[in-house]
Amino acid sequence: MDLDSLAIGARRRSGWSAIDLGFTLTRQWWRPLFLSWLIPAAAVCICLHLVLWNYPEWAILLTWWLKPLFDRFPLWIASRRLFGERPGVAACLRQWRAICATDALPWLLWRRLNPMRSLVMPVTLLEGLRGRRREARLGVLQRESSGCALWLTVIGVHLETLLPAAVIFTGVLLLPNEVDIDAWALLSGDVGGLTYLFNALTLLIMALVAPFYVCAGFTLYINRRIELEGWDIEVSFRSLAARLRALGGVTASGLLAVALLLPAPVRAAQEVAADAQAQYARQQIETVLEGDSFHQTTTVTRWRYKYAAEETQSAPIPEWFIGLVEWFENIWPDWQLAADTDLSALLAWLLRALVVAVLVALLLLLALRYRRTLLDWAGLEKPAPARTAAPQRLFGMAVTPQSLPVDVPAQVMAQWRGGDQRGAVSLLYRATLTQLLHRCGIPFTPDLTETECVALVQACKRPELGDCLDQVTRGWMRLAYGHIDPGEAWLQEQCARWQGLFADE
Amino acid sequence: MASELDTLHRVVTPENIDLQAECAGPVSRCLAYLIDLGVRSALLLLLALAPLFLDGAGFGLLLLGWFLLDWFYPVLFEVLKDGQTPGKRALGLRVVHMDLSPVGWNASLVRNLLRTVDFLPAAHLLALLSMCLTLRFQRLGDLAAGTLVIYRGGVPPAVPLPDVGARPLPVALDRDESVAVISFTRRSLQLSEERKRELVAILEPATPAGVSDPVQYWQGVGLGLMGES
Repeated sequence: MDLDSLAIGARRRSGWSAIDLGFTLTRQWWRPLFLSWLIPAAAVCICLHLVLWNYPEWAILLTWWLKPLFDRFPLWIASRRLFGERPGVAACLRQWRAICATDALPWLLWRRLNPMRSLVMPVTLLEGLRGRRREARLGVLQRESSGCALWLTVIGVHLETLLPAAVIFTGVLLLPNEVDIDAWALLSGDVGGLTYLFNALTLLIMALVAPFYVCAGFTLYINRRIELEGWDIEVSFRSLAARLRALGGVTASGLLAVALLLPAPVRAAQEVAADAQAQYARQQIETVLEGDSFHQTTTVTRWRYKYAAEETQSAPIPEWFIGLVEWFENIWPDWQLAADTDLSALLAWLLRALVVAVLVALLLLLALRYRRTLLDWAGLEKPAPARTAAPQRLFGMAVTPQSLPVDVPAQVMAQWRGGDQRGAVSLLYRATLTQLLHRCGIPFTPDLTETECVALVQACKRPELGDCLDQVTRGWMRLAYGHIDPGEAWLQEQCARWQGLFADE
Repeated sequence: MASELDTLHRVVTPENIDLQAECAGPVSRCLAYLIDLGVRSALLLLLALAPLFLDGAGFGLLLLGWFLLDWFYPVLFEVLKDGQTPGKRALGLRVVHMDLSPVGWNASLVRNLLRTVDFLPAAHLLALLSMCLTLRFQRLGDLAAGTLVIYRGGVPPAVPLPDVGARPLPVALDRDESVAVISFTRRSLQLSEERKRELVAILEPATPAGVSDPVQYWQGVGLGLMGES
């Protein structure tokens, strides 16, 4: 047994999952499995038909009874392919004597109707155990998987019975109406030749189902062995050993020595240091998360009518409600119950009311769910976001009206001529922001960048404000970050515009 | 190792997390379907008593119930109960999207409406064929809705552990190797003595020199990996 060439993933599975793996194997190796079942079975079936030429029903029944023999061929192929060999159909059929001889009689007599056949057959066939040892082995193997094997057989039996019926039904469905056939004669097999056709169909269906059944039972058996013998552990251990060998003897032993000989106090000190760092980082993270950057507290003050509750009680019924009730009466005129209704009529009324209520609730739910979209369609504007308190500082500059000089343009030009060019342009920029914030009510927040501020102003209804801030921002960013002198003419122009926009009030 | 045959479905998220799930095949799903069919039939039988007592209203009730049970029984359970109808719960199955996220209304409605097609021509023949032929055991409804039926992995039950005392790791192990060592420790009662010695003999290049009983040593390493003492 060479687990390195195992064709399936070595891991533990539930019984159901093992059956599914069997289906995957069947799909992968479909041709050899199917043919290795069909060829012997078809040969035997034809012989039986020749011998029992007058009793075709008995011929197919005998073929069905001999299934444990035919099942051995796909099992033989699957058990070899699992460990990396690639035997084909021919190789399998050449071995027919050996395959059929092992333990054949019990399987054709008293074990024929064993519902756990798919799981038990690999034990007797592949391990060749007999008598008491076989019983003991079965006891261990069946402890977990017998339920799954049983249900596998139940499903398989139903499939074999239902599939021929389904195929025949499909044929009948596809017949045009004009063709008049006697379905009863067809089913009871009185029509000459049809019995043979039906037998061929049955044999084909058995050949279709058998590889799945055999493989699923085989993987159930393998699954128990993986579990009991730790195949998955062995595969992992082997790869670990191979990895260590590949590292090279010297390096491996050196690493080993380092890992083993590293004195404990050194390791402890390293761990303590790492712990302290992690704790410091955690504290930092918590401080930042608790800070203002991640929280925004707003206080909203507004007026509310004190006597609202009393008002609604005495209010007259609104017009729309009356309209709704009238419409309702239109579509359901007899909604009012008569006094002498019996129980069933009452229940019918309740049921109808329930359906109507559910319908209305569904409509309301839909309206609620898509209210945004509906409001958009109706052209209603979204409510403006709540105003927050104006920030004190933007980009590290004070933006309160108190922090500005009385005559901003004069101060700007004075600083420029005095040689403080940065101070002059920054004052102009700061003054523009402050005016926009406090006089025009642009909701700047501390998290915006310079260009985002410009975009915010350009989005409001007065284009001249956006243009002004755009110009000033460009000039300021060029000077501050790019060290490009905007020139005195530009500054004078901006000051004049600022004067026109903000200084007249 | 990439060519190993298995029933796993792997998804790697953008965060480079490797998720995997076992796809569920026809046998377990057939059984789950039969259980659901039983539950539905029982409910319908109860409803069928209604016309006996309530005449017309009862008949209306029966028709409404039939309609709801037929079309919405699987959908409601799958969406509201984490992808599990009672039958699927009994078999440990679960419906998910192809990316392993919980199934939503759209996908569940599509996959259950298409049951009608999967049933054709009789006895879910198309569904069965489709499940046997597709890589992840999907029926036509699953293919259309982009869903998958998987086994719901649970926490392994507690098992008695060998009492040998934990040991530190002799070499650095990757994830699969750690899992194997832990598995070796957890299954030490199940494996035979000879088999345990065989397995540990493979690990000879990783076992430090001077260890008297390698089986106990590696069981101790497994305990250490599990955080036991």
